[in-house]
Amino acid sequence: MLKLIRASVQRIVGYFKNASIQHIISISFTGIAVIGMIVVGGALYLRFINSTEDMVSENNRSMLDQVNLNLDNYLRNMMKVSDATYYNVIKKKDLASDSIDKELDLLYETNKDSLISICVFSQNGEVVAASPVGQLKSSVDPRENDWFTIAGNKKENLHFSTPHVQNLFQDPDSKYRWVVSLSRAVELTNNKKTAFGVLLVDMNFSGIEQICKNVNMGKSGYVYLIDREGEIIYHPRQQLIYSNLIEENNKAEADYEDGNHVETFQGEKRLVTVKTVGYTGWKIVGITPMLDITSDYSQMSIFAVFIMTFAIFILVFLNMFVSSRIANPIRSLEKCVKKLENGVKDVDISVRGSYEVQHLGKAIKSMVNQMHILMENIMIQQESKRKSELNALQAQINPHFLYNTLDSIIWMIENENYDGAIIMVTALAKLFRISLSKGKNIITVRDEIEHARNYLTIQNIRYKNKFTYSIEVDEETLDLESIKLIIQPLIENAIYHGMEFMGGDGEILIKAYAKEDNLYIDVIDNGLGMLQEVADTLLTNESKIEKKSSGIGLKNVHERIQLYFGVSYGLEIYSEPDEGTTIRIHMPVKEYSKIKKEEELR
Amino acid sequence: MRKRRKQTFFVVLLLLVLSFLLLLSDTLWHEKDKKIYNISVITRGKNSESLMIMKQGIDQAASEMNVNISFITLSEENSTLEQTELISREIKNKADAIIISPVDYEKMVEPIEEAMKKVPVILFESSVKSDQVLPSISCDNYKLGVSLGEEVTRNGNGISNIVIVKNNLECSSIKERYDGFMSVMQRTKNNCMLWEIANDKQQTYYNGAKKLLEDNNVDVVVAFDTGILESISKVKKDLTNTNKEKANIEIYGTGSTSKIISFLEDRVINATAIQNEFNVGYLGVKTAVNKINGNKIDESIISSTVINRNNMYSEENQRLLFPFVR
Repeated sequence: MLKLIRASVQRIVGYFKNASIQHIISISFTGIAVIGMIVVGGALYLRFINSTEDMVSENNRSMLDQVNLNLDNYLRNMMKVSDATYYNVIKKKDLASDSIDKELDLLYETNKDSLISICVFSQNGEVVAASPVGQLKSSVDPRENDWFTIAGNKKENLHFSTPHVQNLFQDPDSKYRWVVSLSRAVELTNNKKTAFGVLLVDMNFSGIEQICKNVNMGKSGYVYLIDREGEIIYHPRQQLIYSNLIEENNKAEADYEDGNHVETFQGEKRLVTVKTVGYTGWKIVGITPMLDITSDYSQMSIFAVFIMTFAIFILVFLNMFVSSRIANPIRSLEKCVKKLENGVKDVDISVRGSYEVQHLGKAIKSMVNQMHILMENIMIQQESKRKSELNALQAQINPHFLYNTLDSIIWMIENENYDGAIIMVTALAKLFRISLSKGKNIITVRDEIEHARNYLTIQNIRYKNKFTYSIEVDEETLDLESIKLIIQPLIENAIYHGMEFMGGDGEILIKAYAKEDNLYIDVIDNGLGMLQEVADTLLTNESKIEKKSSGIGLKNVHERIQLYFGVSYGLEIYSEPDEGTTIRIHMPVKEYSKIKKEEELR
Repeated sequence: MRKRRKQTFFVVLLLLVLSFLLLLSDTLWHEKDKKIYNISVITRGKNSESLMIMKQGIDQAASEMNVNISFITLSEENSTLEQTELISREIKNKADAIIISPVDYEKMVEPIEEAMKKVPVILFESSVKSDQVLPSISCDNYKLGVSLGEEVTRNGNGISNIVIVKNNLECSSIKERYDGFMSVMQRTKNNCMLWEIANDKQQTYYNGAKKLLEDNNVDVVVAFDTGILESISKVKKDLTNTNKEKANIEIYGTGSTSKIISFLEDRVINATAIQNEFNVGYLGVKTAVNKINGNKIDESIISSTVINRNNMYSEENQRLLFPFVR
């Protein structure tokens, strides 16, 4: 179990480690909100339930207190009537000489609403006095009644009976009334002799009914009244109980203490509130079915659950919204950074979201700008470095060749071959003019070819017509641009490697032509040639510069072309032993005039 | 993606609000769900005190079960025609159920069966000769007659002249009581005389009864009708004032008006057989409500007792005889 929990915790932690910021924010916020809602809602709900029960109990208790107060008042009133009759009337009068009817009438009249009758009976059950005056029914003997015997047994006490039908006096209307009898033993003075008698005050039952009837005990709650033994005195459905149509738990409830009880009666749970009425020992019982209380609960709980889901829903949405507000700018920033990582230039870095993220975006933006500037600087530096390198390479050519040529010229002059010397010097002069070209690196193909021609002229004289040469140039290529001094090293190469060891009849052909966007200048010889494998190694670093070469190899030319035009251009060497070698210069077709304009614009 | 999320959000929100409203309205409807039933009670005769206790039972049930009662009495005792008209009138007035005490065992069959097709009909006290199972709220009238008969013999009447007032026998409850009573009499040597009187006014009952009691050598009079019982008792009381011998005439009957009770107390009436009328009224309405709702109706039996002067103030009989004044 513990392992399982740990594993799940780890899984959650693992998830959070890899999740996006939006997920982390929304999920954790939502989780906390849901837990909080449930805890608060549950607590409130439980509190509500508790307080409702308490409230109902408290309400019932105060209701019963009110009923008790009224009932007590009523009963006290009756007892006062009884007391007044006894102490102020009966005790003061001698029945032999005085009549007490007048006083009884007075008392009856003042309490007419709640009284049925006041009568005094002698020991033998004869009526001594009564109000209202009535004739005792012939068939009735008061001594047989409970109220008479109990009053006789409990001398000093007042006795309240259960409700019964009053049947003492003849009534012309044949009306029978339900009464509660208050009886007590009295001492009657008759001719100065005291004798035992009974004072009966019959209370109208409806007086009690009025007190208990309109008590509000909730939807289906009610109040009823029982005596000490649990006999029902008043019940809102009394007749039904008497008819055995319904039952009441009155016998058991007679033993309850005052206060609130919960009981289950006939399968129904109910809240019973008991209050004992002073003096009589009667008990007021308030009944509230639990269903009345709990029916509110289910509604309340449904309501609470709904409110909670509603709130959770809103919260989830809010969380999602807020988290997206926070996370989206970060995410877009992250995307931009990713693009930068992948080398995309000109990334528009988003600057939005909260202040911090904005700041970050700005910082990154300025950083990127800085970087771009730096990179451009580096490029410019590189460029200039390359240019100086190029220039250096070109500069390398001159002294070597000059030395050889001048050597040849000297040699000619020594041999008094002045014509040859003149041609040579003229060619050399032309050669140098093109070589210089006002310091430009790029010249027209025309000039380059001219340069090659001059060189060939010089070399041809030097090598005493050991070889013949021809130049075939397409007209259209003449105005294209070319790097300065690229053909000359190739011719030099062809002469040294192709012709030197040959007996004679060496031929060098120079061809310039354009094909599509490519400019080709071929230098073809019919020299010794070499294996293609060897030829292929010439342009790589592995190849060693031949000792006999002028020091500026093919590689230099190749590198220069590549430096200027890019790696897709350069030299191509095709060779076959004893057949000859073709070295092809490959450059893009570019109009020289355009370059010029661009340079002017700069 | 974002748009779809927004859409789902609104759909869920809408659903939530809708279900919430549904729930609220449901609970609101639930509160109003307490339907009020209109139930008509049609009696067998005029409004009289004997109906009071039953009416209390009806009122008690009505207040407990949300019933609107229209309590209809006949303008004439035991009028088949009037009762038939009343039934159709009440159905027209949109009564949800009818509780009726049929006046005639045979003649009322058709109108009641007709009414049964439209609304639930509950019979009380008497019944009709019908093949259909009609819910009926009544005590065992035959047994009540038997009990009364036994009370008569218990009081030492073995060879007495007994006058039995024969009236309204077309009404099943009275017929059964009569049959029950006669079944006991047939086992004794009592000389039973039948005195048939037609439905008439109270005054004619009185005169007829006076003649009967004066002229004949009557020991016991038995009446199964409350009104007649009251009249005969009054005759006896009046006669007793002039002729003490007449006090020995014993009177038995059924019913429990306050007049009867007071006669009972004065020993003018010897015994009266009563049924628990409060329960008749209460259960009548309860059965009607159950029937309207289509609930199962439990068989209810109304208790009956014979009450004489000696046991009338016993705790149980007191409750049976004297209803609480509300």
